[in-house]
Amino acid sequence: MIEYRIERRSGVSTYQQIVQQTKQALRLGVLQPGDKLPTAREVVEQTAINPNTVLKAYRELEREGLVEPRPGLGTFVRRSLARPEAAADGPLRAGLVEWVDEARTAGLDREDISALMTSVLEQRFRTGVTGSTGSAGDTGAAGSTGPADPAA
Amino acid sequence: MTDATAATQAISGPPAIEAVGLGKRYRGDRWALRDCEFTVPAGRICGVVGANGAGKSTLLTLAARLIEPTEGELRVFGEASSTPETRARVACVTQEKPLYPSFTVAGTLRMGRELNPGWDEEAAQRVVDMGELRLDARVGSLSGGQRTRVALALALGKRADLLLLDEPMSDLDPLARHELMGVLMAEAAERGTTILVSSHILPELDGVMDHLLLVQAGRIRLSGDPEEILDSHQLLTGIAEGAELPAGTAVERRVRGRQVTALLRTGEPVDGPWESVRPSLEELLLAYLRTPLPPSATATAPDREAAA
Amino acid sequence: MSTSTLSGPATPSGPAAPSAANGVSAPARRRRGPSGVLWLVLHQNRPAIRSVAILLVLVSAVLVAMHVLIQDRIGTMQQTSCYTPASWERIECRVQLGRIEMLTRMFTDILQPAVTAAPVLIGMFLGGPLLAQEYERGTVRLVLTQSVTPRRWLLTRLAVPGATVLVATSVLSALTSWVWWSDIYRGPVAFDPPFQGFTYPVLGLAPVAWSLFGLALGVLVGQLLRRTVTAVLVSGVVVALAQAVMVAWRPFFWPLVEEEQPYNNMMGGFVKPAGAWLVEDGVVRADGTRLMRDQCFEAASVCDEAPTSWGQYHPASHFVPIQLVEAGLLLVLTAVVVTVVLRRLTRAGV
Repeated sequence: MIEYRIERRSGVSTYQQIVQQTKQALRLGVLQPGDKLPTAREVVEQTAINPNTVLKAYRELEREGLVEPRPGLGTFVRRSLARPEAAADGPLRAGLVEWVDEARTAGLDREDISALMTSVLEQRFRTGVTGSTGSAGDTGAAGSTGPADPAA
Repeated sequence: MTDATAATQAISGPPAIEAVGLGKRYRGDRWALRDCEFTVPAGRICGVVGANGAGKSTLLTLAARLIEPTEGELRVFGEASSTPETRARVACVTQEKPLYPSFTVAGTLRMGRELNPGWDEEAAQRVVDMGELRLDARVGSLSGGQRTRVALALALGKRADLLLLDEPMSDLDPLARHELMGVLMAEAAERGTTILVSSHILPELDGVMDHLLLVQAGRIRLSGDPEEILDSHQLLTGIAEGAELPAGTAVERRVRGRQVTALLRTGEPVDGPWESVRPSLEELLLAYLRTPLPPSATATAPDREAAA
Repeated sequence: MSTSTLSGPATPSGPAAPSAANGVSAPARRRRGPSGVLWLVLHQNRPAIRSVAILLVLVSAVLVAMHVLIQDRIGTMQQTSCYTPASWERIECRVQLGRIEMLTRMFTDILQPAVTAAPVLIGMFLGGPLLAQEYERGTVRLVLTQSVTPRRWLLTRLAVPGATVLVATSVLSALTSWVWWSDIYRGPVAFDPPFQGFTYPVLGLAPVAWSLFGLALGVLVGQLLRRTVTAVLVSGVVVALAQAVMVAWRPFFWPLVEEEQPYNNMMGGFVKPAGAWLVEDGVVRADGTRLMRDQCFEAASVCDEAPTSWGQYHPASHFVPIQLVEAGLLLVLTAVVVTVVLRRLTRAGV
């Protein structure tokens, strides 16, 4: 079961926060196919947000084919977003760790690395180098010393 | 069916609340509300926002049938005046949260059971238990926040279809506030209860309401889905000199040195050297609250199209 | 509408079940005894009912004791042949008489004024605060936002103290009337005509009708003022004023008996029959013109020469019809006041 954390002042609408947090859970494997999402009642009792917002977020997830309502039972996960490549022990992650270590050795601090990542992601995704649902682990995406492991 | 939203489903019955030319004058010729026209569809959580003395309490008191309108009508579930049926369907916690001080907490809940045919002991009991209130404590000996909890327990135990809450959270600590708002939202999720909740603390209602009533000087200034209202507004920033704002749409315009900030009521892109962002709910409400209503303005809700 | 919202994707199956089951079992859990608004009103009125009951028991005990003591002493007087006024010159008879007089005076000087004041006190302490406190604390809004109708609530709210007052004053009046009749009015010493200021209000229907009216009047005052302390004070004044007004009207509730007597200066004018209420008197002069008693005081010589005196009075036999008329009038007024209170509750808003 997932527990949503709603940040009122984040500027992101509560509905989007639920969608994003659900997807994040699907990516990380916290939620897996067949798992039940909390009922709207459970979500709102804990977060004190509008129930219609929860329903709206669940409908959005349903439209994307990630979850499905089963009348009288609840809403269940249909499909996972977890990618074995991105798993904690996957080679992509290992490559990224290696690259970050290298950047630190080169004298970059946390903010420098983060800014570099963001700018590269912006550039690569805006220019349509990969498809919108494509893998973030595209070869060379993170620069010359990047995690250049062309995983499956 | 999967596409149906709670809002569209709720439209099938009469709206929870519908005001037609509503006005209320108290003794001494003071109009607390005037020319109010708005609709709150059933199943919505409607935030009633406005400055102190704007008419929020009058509006809720009218809906609770504790006072009669001077002119016009306030229909509750389609009924223009109180019927035994609407009496059982509407629960109300007024701002003062009156309770009998000599009654115990248990006695107060017993009163709820005796006076309401649809009484749900468990729902009421849960609210009381969460606050760790002793059932044999006299209501008069409770703190303000504890009394609020008992008043809310009484309202929730009634199992109403419309909950009218006038500044319900004002004397609760943040934890109790969050917890009780959660209980209210759960009630709405489970039973589709329409909730009308007034507050002058704007962030309290952010993320909670899906319908907004902005009351200002006895008029309804805004009425509708807050997201749609926000979509139809823009917050512009630019250089004061030489920049012309589109005529007639500015809600508020403030100049700070060379910079000018303006809230515009239009969804259309604006030409000119402006930086435009979607305002936050608080920015929007504050801009409206800072701008007094022109005396000639009638209270035809400016964004009734948004409410539709 | 509520069920349709449930059919969203996040239908809660779990939490809905226990609350539905609870809805079914709730009536079964209902305890025995009064229910609904009656429960609420009885719960609210418990202290008041208890106080009235204690007071009633005390006063009843005093009255019964008074009767027993007086009868006991009358018995002793008869045995010692001290009962007739002729014997009262004997010193031992005077002592016995003194004991009865003390009891009689307790009745006429303490109990009678207290019972006369009962409607005022009931108006002040039961009537005045009844709605004033509900308005002052806002609890009228609490009650009127429950499922009960304002009419039902108000009528029950009034009926419980009303019934309490009705029962208590009926018992009280029965006892005072009984003691007055058997021990005072027909007793060896006391001559206490029934129409007197503190006698009339403690007999028959008067305490009952006046107390109910005082209660209703206090309720109206409380509703108008909406402040408990002011309502208590103003209710007292208003009920006392109503009593004063009624005393002025009382002679006209039944036709007066008019009589002329030969003027007897020695007796000081018109001589009324025993127990009667002389409302008006004066003299008739030789030329047939009537003078009021007051006019005689202006010029006593005018009346001294008059051959006849006249008087208008209620004989003791008018006591019951006058009480009936007055009680009827008071009950009508009570109903009017209750109707006004009800109208104000449903129309004027709370």
